[in-house]
Amino acid sequence: MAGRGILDRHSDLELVRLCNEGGSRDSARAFEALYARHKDYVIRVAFRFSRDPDIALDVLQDTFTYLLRKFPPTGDGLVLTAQLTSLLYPVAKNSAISHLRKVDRLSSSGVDPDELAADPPGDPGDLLRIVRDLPEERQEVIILRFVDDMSLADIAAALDIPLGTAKSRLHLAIRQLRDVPEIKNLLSP
Amino acid sequence: MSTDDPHLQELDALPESLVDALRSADRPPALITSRVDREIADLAAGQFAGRGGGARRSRPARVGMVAMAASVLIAVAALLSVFRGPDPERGSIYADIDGSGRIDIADVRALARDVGSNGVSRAEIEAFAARVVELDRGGDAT
Repeated sequence: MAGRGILDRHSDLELVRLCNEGGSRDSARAFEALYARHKDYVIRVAFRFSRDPDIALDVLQDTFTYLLRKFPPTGDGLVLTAQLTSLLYPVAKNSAISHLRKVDRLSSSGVDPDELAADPPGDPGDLLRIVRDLPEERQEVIILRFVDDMSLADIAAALDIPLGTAKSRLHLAIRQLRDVPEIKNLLSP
Repeated sequence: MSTDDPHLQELDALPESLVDALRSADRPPALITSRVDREIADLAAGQFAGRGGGARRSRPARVGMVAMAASVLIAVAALLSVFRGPDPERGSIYADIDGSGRIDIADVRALARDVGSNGVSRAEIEAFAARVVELDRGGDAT
């Protein structure tokens, strides 16, 4: 991964353009720069849904292989209409869930992957419990907004839902959280 | 955090401790090794291999470049055929084309009527004409 150099300063849009149209060396370096920039995000999403280091690494590879195949000669090229993270998020999430289901089938443990994703091991504390008590889709928008720092447009793109739906879902999630007495106490001066 | 909706800006004020807790809980252990990085780099190198070192152009642009190069070659070939002298191997065109029993300007005209389609170039016709004029002035036709 050495030698990306100046490409590190390029925007995602410029790097994607190089991957679409550049020569072999430039394209490979541009892709490495995209990988270096977003690998931590992808592994975070992968681990968020799987809570399994091996699966998370498989998801990382799946996600960047998916991205790579978008570029010629295997793909028609990538057109970025939102932040790259909003493209990577659903790929990583679906890959993690798919891997979990495979593991589940092999072990026949009967563990619901959604349940695993929603309630990871460890001590989440009362505040986290409050968030995890939200309906799953509201939890998800809270995480995308406050942990992943996504804009509403990027949340909509990541979840493949209309912007209005993303807005109302986030609004309802925040309102529900703010109605919880512990949160109310934290917000009051 | 992005604040792209005025209504949500007001509501975005979730307690910082809650946001911090969410972020801490979402932090994965260090999993990515240099081997993983290398595997991805190898995949990328394989994907883009064969594109050549220069910038890869879009398909329509490449077709345009090829068409332009072909046009230039055709133009150069046409210019060469116009300006070069007669081919020494093509002595047969200096002949009695119309069967009149002599080589004269009528043979040049007969040959010129089918210029291009009979494999004879305009330059060769002009050379033929010059030769005929030379003959008429008493030069050696052989």
